[in-house]
Amino acid sequence: MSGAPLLSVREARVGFFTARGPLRAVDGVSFDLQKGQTLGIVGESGSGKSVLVRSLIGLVSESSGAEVGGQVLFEGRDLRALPAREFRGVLGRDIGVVFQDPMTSLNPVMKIGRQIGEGLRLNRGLDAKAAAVRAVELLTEVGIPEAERRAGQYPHELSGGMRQRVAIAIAIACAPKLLIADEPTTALDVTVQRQILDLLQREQRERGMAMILITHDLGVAAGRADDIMVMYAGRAVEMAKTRELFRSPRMPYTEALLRSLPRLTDPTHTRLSAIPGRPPDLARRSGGCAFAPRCSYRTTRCDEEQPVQTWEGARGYACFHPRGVNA
Amino acid sequence: MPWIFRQLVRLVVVLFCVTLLTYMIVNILPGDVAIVILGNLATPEDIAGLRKDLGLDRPMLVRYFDWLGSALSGDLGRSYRNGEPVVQAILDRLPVSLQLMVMAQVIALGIAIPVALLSVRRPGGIFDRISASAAFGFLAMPNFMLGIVLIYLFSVTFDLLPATGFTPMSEGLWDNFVSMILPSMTLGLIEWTVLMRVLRSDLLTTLKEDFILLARAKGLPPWRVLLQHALRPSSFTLITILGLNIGGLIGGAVIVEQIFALPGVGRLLLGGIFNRDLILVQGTVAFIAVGFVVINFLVDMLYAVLDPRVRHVRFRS
Repeated sequence: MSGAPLLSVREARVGFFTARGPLRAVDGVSFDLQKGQTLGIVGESGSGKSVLVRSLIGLVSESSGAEVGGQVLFEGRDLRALPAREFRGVLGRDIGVVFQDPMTSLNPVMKIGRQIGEGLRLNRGLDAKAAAVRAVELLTEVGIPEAERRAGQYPHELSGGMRQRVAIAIAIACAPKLLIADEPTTALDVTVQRQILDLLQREQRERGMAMILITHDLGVAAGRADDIMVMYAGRAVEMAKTRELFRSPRMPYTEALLRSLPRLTDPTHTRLSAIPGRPPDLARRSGGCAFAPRCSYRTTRCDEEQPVQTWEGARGYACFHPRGVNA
Repeated sequence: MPWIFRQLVRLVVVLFCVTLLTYMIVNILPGDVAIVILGNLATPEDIAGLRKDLGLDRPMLVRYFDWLGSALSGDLGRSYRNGEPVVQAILDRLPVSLQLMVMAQVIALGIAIPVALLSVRRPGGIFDRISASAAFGFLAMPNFMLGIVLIYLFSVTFDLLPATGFTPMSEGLWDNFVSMILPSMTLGLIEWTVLMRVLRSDLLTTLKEDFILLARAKGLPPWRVLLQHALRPSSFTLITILGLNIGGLIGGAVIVEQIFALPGVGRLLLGGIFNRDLILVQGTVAFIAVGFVVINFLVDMLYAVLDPRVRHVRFRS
């Protein structure tokens, strides 16, 4: 890895106070993201991947009862130490976000063109007319036909796929250095999922943006992420180059996830293997490895002791019984 | 458009039910307009004669449909008591009630919207809790009491505003405005509480939406997120309640008009009831009912202005 990373996260933590007691949604996650690279964050629902990323960009607010900890460096600046106004500037200019469901992430009572132009006027100092012109260009760029007419429409007048294209146009409008895509295809029809992912990837390459792609689907991350971080119960349990991760996963959870993917080389009607059990209740953590109850390699040590991150060069994992290692 | 048609049917049904009910209730009331006019010393023959002249000797339903027929053609009849056309009586008082209604709503909204916006900046914070307590305090206060407190404060103690009485606009806009301040405050200071509570709660719901997160992710400062993204989609309950308030005040505010001696529609109605002036009561009630339905019809239209999704559904179906 050359040069300072674009984004550097150390020991990120997010806690919530719930009726059933305090809950650690994100527990000590660290990673680096280089310029122009893509990091896939993979995990089941509730593994903390969305909360992690939202907390990095200040969208998990402490006023809502959340407790946010750790350090976030963006281009070497400590985002959490910035004054609110400067932080909003970085957020608006240098970081773009695409959320899961374009039904809910676009303002239903505001015209599309204005929603795209808003950031441009605020962060890039364009006047209303210039922002409107640029909004139409952006709509064309993300593959929306009749962009001029569409800019004057409201979100409900567009299909789901179209809306997600609009959301992407909003995210890239201010030419950010980092694009965060939080399950960008989960709410969409299977037929348009690929188009949206391809669009994201194309924009990323053309603009040299770094991207964090959050997904519960390893298959989505497979061809698109340079690195993959697997999250389980609020922790990063494995981190590796995508190719290495697929070739030889270390963490039994990753292995189980990979085994649950359908393969074209399997004979037809092969049963997909599921991971037994369900993710743990984050409000009632045990002292040991969170995956232990579902793990086929579990020993008593796994129940009693929390495995720490082990590093082999750029890849890390948190497991006492890593696969593919002769220890 | 079937929607307009449905509204019209609703209007007719409401009007029919309301007027028939009023007709029956006022007829059940003891007392007689003929006695009111002629006084207690009149002979039964005189009373019977006057009743015949006024058409009161006919069966109730006959009189009702007779009235309904001319009401539909815009003639609400003449007051039994002084022969004044009912339409004219209402039109004379209406500007006062309308002015009261508008000024009260301006005061109510002028307090409710800023307070709600400030409350949701920190739900459960100091401002939120103080404003909630203040709202419940005002809400619990009957308006005749608030009116008297305001008179005591602003007229008696500080001598800033006239205690009662009404100055028509023709005698000076400023004097007119000043004479309406206390009555409007009496209504507005109670109404803002409900408006504030519903707006606050809708804002809190809206603020949990993803598009608010996206607005924040664009780098918009919190107050712009609130005003430009959260306020409009949160205003539907507010508009509904506002519509009900306005509809209710179309017929005047009986108590407040009475306290401040305002010649509004409310006092007209009250006088009509005391005098058993059935035709006047009937006409006023019909007018209020139409006003109520029309206002709520306009509110329905306003939804479409505020929310393009409503427009979509309504005008495509």
